[in-house]
Amino acid sequence: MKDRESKTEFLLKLLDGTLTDSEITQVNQLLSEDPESREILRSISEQAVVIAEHSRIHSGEVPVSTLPVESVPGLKAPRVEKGIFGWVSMVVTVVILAFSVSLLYQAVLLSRVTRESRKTEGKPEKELAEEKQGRYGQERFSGDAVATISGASGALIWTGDRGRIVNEITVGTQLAGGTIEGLAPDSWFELRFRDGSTVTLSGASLLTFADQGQKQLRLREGRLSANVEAQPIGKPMLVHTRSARLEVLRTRFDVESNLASTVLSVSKGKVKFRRLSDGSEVEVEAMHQVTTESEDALVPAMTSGAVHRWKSELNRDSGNYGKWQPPSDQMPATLKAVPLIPPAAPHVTLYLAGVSVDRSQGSPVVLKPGSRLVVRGRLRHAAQVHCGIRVNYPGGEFAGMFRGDLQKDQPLATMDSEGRFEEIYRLPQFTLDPAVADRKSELASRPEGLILDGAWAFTHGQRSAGLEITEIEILPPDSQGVAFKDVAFNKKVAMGQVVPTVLRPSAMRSWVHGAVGWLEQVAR
Amino acid sequence: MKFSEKEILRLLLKSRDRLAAAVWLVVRDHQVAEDIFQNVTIKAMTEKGEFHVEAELLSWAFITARREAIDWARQNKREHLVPSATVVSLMEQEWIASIGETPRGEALRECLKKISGKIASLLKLRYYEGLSCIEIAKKTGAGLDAVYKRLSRAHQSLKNCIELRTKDSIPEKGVHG
Repeated sequence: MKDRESKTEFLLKLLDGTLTDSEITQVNQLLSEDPESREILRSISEQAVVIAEHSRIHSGEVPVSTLPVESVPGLKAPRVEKGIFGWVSMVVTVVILAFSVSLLYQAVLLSRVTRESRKTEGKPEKELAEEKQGRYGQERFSGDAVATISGASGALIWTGDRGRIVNEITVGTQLAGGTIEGLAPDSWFELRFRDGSTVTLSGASLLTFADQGQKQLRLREGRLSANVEAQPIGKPMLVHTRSARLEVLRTRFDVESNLASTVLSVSKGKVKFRRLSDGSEVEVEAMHQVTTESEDALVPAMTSGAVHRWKSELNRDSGNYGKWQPPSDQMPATLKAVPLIPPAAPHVTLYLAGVSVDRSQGSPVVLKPGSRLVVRGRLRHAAQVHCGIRVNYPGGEFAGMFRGDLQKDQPLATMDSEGRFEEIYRLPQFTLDPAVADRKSELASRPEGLILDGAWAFTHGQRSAGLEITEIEILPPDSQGVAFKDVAFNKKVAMGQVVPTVLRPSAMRSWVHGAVGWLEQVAR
Repeated sequence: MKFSEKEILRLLLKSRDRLAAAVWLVVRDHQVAEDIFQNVTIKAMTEKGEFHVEAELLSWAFITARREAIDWARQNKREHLVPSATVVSLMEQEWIASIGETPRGEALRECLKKISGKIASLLKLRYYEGLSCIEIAKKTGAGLDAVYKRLSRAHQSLKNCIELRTKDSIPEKGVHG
C-alpha cells in the first residue's frame, strides 16, 4: 500500500469498524511502522472532532465549548445552552473541587505537622540529625520521600502521587512512593530506601512501592533483585506479585514475575514465600529457589550448578520484549521488534526485541571467556543488527550491560534469499554499554564470569527493517556447530570489507585469528 | 514555576483539538470525547501546583484521557475498535511533540465554512451523526466504495486547505515554564 489515498481509505475502514481481524493486525502493523499513516490517522481524528463541533454549532446545539481560546483565560462567563454540560458548570465544579481540595490539604498539613512534632519529642538531637540525614549519611531524604534513585539508565517513567508523571529520572531523585516502569530491555534502576535497603530492577518491568512504616512492593512485571537491611520487628518488607507474596526480614534475593509465574532465588538469609493460588507457604533459605509454576506442594530446590549454554524460548508469557508471533509452516515462532522512542532521545526510533533468561529452569547461565552470542532471525531490508546483554552478579544484583556489536562500524547483517540472518557476537568484543558508562566504577568491567540476565537486538533508522528474532543463543567457546555466517563474517574481515577501527587489542586478535583460520581453511 | 489554574486551562484548551482527537480515536464518539476532555481538564485543575512545563501537563493529560477512553470503550463493549497500545502510544507522542507547531484547528474551522453540498453533508453524517459508511451508503443510495473514496478525498481537501492557511503562519512557541 503506497499511495496516500489508499492508506486513507484503509484507515477509514478501521475507524468504521469494518475490517476483519487479519486486516486489523495489518493496519496496526502499518501504523506502528509508517509515520505517514499515523499522520493521516491523526489528521482524520482531528478533523472528525472539529467537523462534529462545526456541525453542532451550525445546527444551533452547543456553541459553548467552542469559544476561542483567547476568550477563556479570564474565565469570563461563557454561555451555556439549556441541558448541556458546558464550561460554566465545569468552572463551578472546579471552584468547588478546588475549595474542597484546599481545605483537605490544610487539614492534612496540620495533622502532619502535629505528627512530626510528636515524633521528634524527647528524641536526642543526634538521633534526629541521623534520621534527617538518613542512617547512612549519604543522602538526605526530604519531606515524604521514602526512597532515592541511586542508579538509573534507559527509558524509565515514574508515576507518582496524584498521577504526576516524570520521564527524566536521574540519580538522586527522591521519590515518595509511586510506580516506576522500565520501558525497554536496556532499562534498569536502583532504589535506595531510607534504611539503606536497595532494590534493583532491570529490563521491561513495572514496580509500585510505598513505605509507610512497612515497605510494600508490588512487582507486576520484570525481575527484581534486593539487598534488604534488617526490618522492624513485625513489619517485614512485603513483595507482592501476581501469583505470590514474599515476606522479607533481612536477606538478599531476586524474584522474577510474569503473568504465569513467580520465581524466587535466595542468596543470603531467608524469605517466607506464599503461593496465592492455594495459600501454601514455605521458608526459602539461602542458595535455594522456589517457583509458583508447579501445582504440587511448594518445595524449595537447591540452586543448581551453572550452565554455559543457553537458548531462548520464545513463548507468549516469558517476559520478553517485542511482539510474539506464533510459528507457521515456514517459520518458527518469532519475536518482532517493536518501535521504542527513548524519552531521553525523542528523535531516535529503535526497533527492538529482547529476551529474558528464564530462571525457572533453575540454572544460572554463566558467561565464559570466549562465549559467543548468536542472534538468528529475519529482516525485511538489509540493516545493521545491534545487540546487547544484561548481566548479574552471582548474588542476583545487577552487574551491568554490555554491547556486542561494533556500534557505528557494525556491518550489515548478511541475509539469505528469504531474509534470514544469523549474527555472531564474541564475548571479547563486548564493551560497556554507553547507557551505564557513568557508573563504570561501580559495575563490572567485563561480562565474563557473570550471569546472563537478558539479551536484545535492535535496528535503528527512519524505517523499520522488519527485524524478527527467532532465537538467541549462548554458545561456550569450545562448542561445535557455529554457523556458516561466522566464516562469512571473518571472510569480510580478511578481505578488508569490514575494518573494525574501534576494536580493543583482544577483540582485534580474535578477529585476526578467525580470519587466519578461514584463510587456512580455504588453502586446504 | 508552577502553572496556575488559568494557565492550565489555557494550555489544555490550546491543545483541545489534539486531546479530543486522541480520545475520539479510541471511543469514536464526539460527545464522549468532549466529556472526557472536560473531565481531564477538571482533574488537571484540581492537581494545581503539580505541573511546571507544558509537555509534562500534556503528557499527563493524554495518558489520563486515554485511560478514561479505554475504560469507556470497555464498558461499552467497543474495546475491539481501539488501535493497538503501541499505535496509540506512538500517536500520543507525536501529538505531544507537535505542541510547538501552528495549531490547525482554527484553520480547519475556516476551511469548513467553505464546504457545502454533498461533501458537507457526508462529513456531517459520518462525524456529527455518527453513521457508519455502510449506513451512509444505504441512506444516500451510493456504493460503499464510493462513500470511502469521497470521504478520503474530503479529508485530503481539508488537509490541503489547512496547509495553505497555515503555511505562512509563524509556529507558536511552546511554554516551558
